[in-house]
Amino acid sequence: MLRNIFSKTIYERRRSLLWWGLGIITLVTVLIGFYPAMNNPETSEQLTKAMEAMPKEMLAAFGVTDVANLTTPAGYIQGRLFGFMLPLIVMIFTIGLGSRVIAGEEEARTLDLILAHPIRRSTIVWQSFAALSVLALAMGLITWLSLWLGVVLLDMQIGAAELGAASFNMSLMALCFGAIALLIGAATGKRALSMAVATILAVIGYFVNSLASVIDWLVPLQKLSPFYYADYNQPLKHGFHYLPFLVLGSVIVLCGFAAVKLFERRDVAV
Amino acid sequence: MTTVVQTTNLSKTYGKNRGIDNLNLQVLQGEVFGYLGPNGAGKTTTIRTILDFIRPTSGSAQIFGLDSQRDSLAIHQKISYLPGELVMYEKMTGSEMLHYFAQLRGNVSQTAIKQLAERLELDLKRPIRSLSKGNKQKVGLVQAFMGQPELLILDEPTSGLDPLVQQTFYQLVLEAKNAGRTVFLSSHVMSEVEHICDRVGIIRAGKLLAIDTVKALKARARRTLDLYFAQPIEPSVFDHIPNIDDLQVIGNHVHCAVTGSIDQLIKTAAQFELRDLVSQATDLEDIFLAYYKGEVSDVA
Repeated sequence: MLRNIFSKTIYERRRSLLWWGLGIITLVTVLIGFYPAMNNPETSEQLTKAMEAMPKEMLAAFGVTDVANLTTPAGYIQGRLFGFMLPLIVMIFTIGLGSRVIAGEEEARTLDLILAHPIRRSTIVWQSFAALSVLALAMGLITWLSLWLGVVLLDMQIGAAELGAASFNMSLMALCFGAIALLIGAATGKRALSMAVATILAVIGYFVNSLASVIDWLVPLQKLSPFYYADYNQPLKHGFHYLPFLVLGSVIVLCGFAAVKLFERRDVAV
Repeated sequence: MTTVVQTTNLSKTYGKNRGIDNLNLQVLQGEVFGYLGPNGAGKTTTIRTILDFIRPTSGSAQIFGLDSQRDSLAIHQKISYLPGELVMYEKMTGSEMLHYFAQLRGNVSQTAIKQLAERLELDLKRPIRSLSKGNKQKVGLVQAFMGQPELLILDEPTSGLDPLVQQTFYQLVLEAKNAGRTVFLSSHVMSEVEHICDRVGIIRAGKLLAIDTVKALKARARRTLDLYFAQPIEPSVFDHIPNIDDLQVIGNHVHCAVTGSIDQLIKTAAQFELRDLVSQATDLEDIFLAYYKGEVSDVA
């Protein structure tokens, strides 16, 4: 398993992936398990009323933009899972790993030993990047499979392709922030800084996107938020769309190239 | 003799009072070169610049005639490195770690790892985090020697090792030397440098103060002498000798310090009846301390 930086990174994170994966499965199981109760016409009416009584801004801040829709299968899964909780879990994982792979090793001083070997700095960055991507997509895969199972068992009438598209978009978005963390770590060698910047950007991105439905002047800025693309064209209803893949994919790849350039030219672990 | 490491006016400045200043250093193929200096003198900075972890502010370094920055990949194929501040993956076992580094290096035989671990009496099955400082250092040493590199760059290699293991380490260095490999090791322990190095460079505050063979440095050394004569001696007798200082005459006992040759002093003393002569054995420690205090400076 310890053949190169790519496989070593994945091997090291195997337990972490297991625990975070279990977290996703638990979350999905609990929330899907509550769906039949929510779907009951009486409850759903009460809930809708209660929700309508709340300030729209507050609901938007929690990722709920369409109250009437919250009791449909797609609306429920979007609002309760993809709107906040699932991205949160996956992003904690990707930002943590993104800041760890280069900056973390540099601060721990293990990077010196790696650099003394016949490996290009660009190889170190790209292999770390590949490991981060594979792990983020694995989290998306776990999300997809556990959702699909729940949806099939409860006959919620959402296709595997739609669930797959939503899970894929979410992991791409989380990978986007992981890539930003990796980029800042590669550029500065400071783990806490890279984690903080990526987290702050994620928080801003989240609020800009979710509050844009109630605050007009945020609408043009919304398109700068990765969260906008994760939910672009409602993947749970319409399936895969090329645009999120293109936009988020480009940001991720650009972060990779920038990380290589900046890491190659600086002093390591001064 | 081929030059393996050559630095040309190599300078690296960062922060305040840190770094190296116009370093011209030459390490020849097949020699064991000792890089000596107190902590913070710039030893690690030199090494990390040679290895292209950090980039020189000015000047350059050639290793095997290749540029340290442009050709770092080709250089790293022929070298191994033991960091001064060795940190490894705590969760891995020694065996996993060494296997990983062997994969990154390529061309490392499992037998080499096994043999080195046996010689150093290192248990490879234990996780790194459970190892003592000395045992961690052994993992680092196996890592440095296992690939049979042409140049070994070892930063404070014996730190944390007990004396018996140090002996094994000296053996390994000698074997590498006998196989035609070059060893560049830094240290602040004079006795070990004196013990195993062919040539020594002394660095202080980022500047190279002296670079020479151990023998030549010793010849330039300052030593103290106590001469006991049959009768009281006039201090003026020794006044004309240029390379002595700290002269004290108490009756028939003369105490002084000599830098370099003692020939003139002995010939002067021989004019009188000499009862006893005590010379404090010079070791590199004294030379080093003399340089360290700034008493000697002879490098252009």
